Amino acid sequence: MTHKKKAVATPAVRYVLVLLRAMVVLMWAPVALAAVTAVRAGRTLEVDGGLLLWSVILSTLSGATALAWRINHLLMTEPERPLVRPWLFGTVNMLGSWVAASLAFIAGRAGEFDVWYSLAMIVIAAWAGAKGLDTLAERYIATVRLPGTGGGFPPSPPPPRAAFDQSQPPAPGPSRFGNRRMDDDRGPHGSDR
Amino acid sequence: MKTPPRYWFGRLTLTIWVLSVPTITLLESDTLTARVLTNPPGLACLLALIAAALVSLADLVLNDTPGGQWFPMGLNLRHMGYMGMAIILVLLAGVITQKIGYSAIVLTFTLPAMLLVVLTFLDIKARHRAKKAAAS
Repeated sequence: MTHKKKAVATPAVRYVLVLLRAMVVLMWAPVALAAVTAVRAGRTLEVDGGLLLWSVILSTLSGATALAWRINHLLMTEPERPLVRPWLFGTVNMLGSWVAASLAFIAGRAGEFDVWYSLAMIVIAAWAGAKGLDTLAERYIATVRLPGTGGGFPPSPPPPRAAFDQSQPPAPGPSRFGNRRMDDDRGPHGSDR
Repeated sequence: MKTPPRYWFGRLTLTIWVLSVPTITLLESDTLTARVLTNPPGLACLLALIAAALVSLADLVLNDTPGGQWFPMGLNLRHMGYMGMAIILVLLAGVITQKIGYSAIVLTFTLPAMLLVVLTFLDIKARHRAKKAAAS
């Protein structure tokens, strides 16, 4: 994890927290399974355009909620650290929510669920997808050296925690994002707009 | 005299508007929302909307008063409350269009939902900027 963790009182509490985190990651496995089963059974999906539109809007909102939660948490725990690569940060969240919501949509249509259940399932799946992919990205992508960060292939000495590393400031030099934090909205010359 | 924080009136207006939705739904059985809220998920949505709006109202009253922050949990989960309200409003709009038919009346749900999303991110930004300024 890149942010500071609070001290946990007992191993039992820690175990429960790990279990809850695993549940968030695994929540969309049944949805994926249902979608694959429906596709393999050769069932045709009746896609209603209106329902698809509402599903896209709801999954985007759900992903944005997970993103807001994450940004707020990072700014609360480490207010002085710069938010490195915000585009990757946001993309991972939104991609996770859209993928999970697509699976939930397919499962909902295949199961011919009521509109209420179908849309509610999409909201929950999108949230779980964003959180799950975020957890996976932080665990695995954070250890991968990204292109353009120096070094050859295979990367010599141990790769830095590039993608989500909050412990190091971003590398100096011209950058689209510079060393600005996400909440820094100063103009190009550093003046307030 | 201490002035209210940035976006306070916007948050208050939207929260009161959101609270009016379940109130009207419960009191008027002929409204669009009352016609679609007939099953358990609908009632759960209604209750969640009331809960989120009440928490937001408590946060507005208790945390933005000159005496101090009396409800820190509401402050930390403020963005979740607003985004939750936005999601439920859009969910209601989606169900109304799917069950009853397309109608421009869903704009009354989607526009405040959009404002709630914008307000959430603006509030996160303003809150942390104020915190940073206070620390330095």
